[in-house]
Amino acid sequence: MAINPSHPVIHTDLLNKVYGGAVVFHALHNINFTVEKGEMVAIMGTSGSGKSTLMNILGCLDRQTSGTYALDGQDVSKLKDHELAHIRNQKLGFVFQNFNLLPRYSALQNVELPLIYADLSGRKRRKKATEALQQVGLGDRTRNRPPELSGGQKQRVAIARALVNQPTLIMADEPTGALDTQTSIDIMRLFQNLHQQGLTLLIVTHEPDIAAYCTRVIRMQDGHITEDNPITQVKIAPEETVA
Amino acid sequence: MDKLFHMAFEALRMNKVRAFLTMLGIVIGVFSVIVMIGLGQASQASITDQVKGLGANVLIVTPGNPKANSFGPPGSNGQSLELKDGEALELISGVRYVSPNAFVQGVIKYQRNTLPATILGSNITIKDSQNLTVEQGRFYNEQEVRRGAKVVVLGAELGTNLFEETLAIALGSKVQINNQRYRIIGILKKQGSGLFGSTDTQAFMPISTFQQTVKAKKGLNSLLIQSQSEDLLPIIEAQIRTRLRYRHSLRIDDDDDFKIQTQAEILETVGSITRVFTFLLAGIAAISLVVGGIGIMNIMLVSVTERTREIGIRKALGATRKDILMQFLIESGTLSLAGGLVGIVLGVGVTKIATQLMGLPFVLSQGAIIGAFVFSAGVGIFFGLYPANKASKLDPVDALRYE
Repeated sequence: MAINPSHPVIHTDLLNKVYGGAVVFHALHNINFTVEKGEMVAIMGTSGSGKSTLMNILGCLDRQTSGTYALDGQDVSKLKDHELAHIRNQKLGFVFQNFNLLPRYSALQNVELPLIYADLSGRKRRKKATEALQQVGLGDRTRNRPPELSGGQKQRVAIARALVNQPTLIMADEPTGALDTQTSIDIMRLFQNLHQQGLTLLIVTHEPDIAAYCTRVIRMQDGHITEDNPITQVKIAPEETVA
Repeated sequence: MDKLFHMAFEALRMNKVRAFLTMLGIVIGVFSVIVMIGLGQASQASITDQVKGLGANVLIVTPGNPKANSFGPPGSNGQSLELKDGEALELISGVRYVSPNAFVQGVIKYQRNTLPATILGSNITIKDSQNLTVEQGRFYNEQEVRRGAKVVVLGAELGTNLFEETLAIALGSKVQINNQRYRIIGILKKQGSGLFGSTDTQAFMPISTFQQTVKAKKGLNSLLIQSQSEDLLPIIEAQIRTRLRYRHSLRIDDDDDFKIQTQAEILETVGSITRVFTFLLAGIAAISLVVGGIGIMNIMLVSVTERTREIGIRKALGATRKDILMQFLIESGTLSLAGGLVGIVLGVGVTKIATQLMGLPFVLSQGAIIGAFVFSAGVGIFFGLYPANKASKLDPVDALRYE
């Protein structure tokens, strides 16, 4: 597939999500949302505002009720389940609030997981996973299992896992929600470094302090995007002092 | 694919006790199927050997109407054959000898030792027809048969169990059978099973003695007719029929009250009976294999629920439905296959020991082993299918949210 360098990473047109049943719930109303390559976007909003629903659809984990969604220039609205799985594997990297690492696997094995589903050989998997862990500063922790790691280290493993397949877009859902302030800043600095290397990031947060590290902030309420502002003065996370 | 197997082993290794207990169901199932088939085939082979040992020149006459279907060892019903019938048949030209057989289950006693035994009466030809070899002493002779001498020849196991370490004094000692005393004149060599069960637990005495002291009725269990050549069998069979019908005063429209069988026909009868028993027992054992499979399904369902979040994570990272399905199928397949292998090893081992102890040949067929292996793998996949399908269908959003 030829990729047109000019197309946006995310482009949605009149995106709607309605949960059916006895009571119909309109989670997303006609969302028109575009993210260009190299942006670092914060999505803010109270719980129930629809930001999680939007993230799930943009992350190809869920499907919209109506409207279109193009990811990296490709309309994913009508793709089959296994094709969506392939998109998640190749184009997306997820970072979660509660890390979502497999507790019985070592850091290296956790980072290798997306590569298994990309059908890479064992040797290539280990090489790429080791490189990704070095990139997030955990080159010396490859053999540790998540219970032996601190919260910040766990989130770094999760970020390494998101990076390992060189995705087009990293989606982080409250990535600092379970971390203390200093660790949160360290993680944001890591995201900013990735951003500087040209990666596109989408970060859901309810903390304005965290949103301040991004280049653009959108606010959601009751299934609508109510605000969409570029940040002119992006806060720079200080270089890490403690490894 | 190799990675999927690796993941399955990892998952099982993480829950060793659970995996072991789940496997145990399959182990027991496969084990019992193998042992049942093994013992069935062993006893069939042993009886077949014995019948073949009679040679192809043999006819066996048993009492009872052949049209009244008999299900049991040859000669177990009817009273119509007598010793005098046998003597009459000996006169047919081409007959080498006629060996009459009558037996009862009884107990045999020496001092304080009492043992169950089959008491068998015949003439001297039984030594030849059953290939008996005397280890100590001698077999009874024609004179003793004529006289009805109270002498007995013991099977090997009877001898050793009755006399234990004093076996050397067994010859000439007297044993009691049904309150009558008999002198031991010989002990047989260990031989294993015979046409009427294991000869090692049988006591042989002259038919005249048998009919005078053990069982007063005149009925015989069978007459074994050895001909001079196989070609003569049809003629001899016709003559036997004519003579027996005449001797039994049967009218022209009466059915036979006896049955004449060749070696091949007996093999067929014996084979069909043991096959039915083998399949019956193996079938019962197979039920436990199915129960084991249900155990696998149960554990896999628990495992799917416990690992809902893991499934969500894997799906978010790009696992397709097929990937998840395969992961859980390989897991359940590995469980049952490993259980099957252990069950086969144990089953073959126990069958080998058991057949040795019972003096049977070890003839467990490869088909049975391969069948058990394939069946156990099939059980794992069949009973793993439902849980694996359930796992693969989980919605990633719901699965990730699962606490």
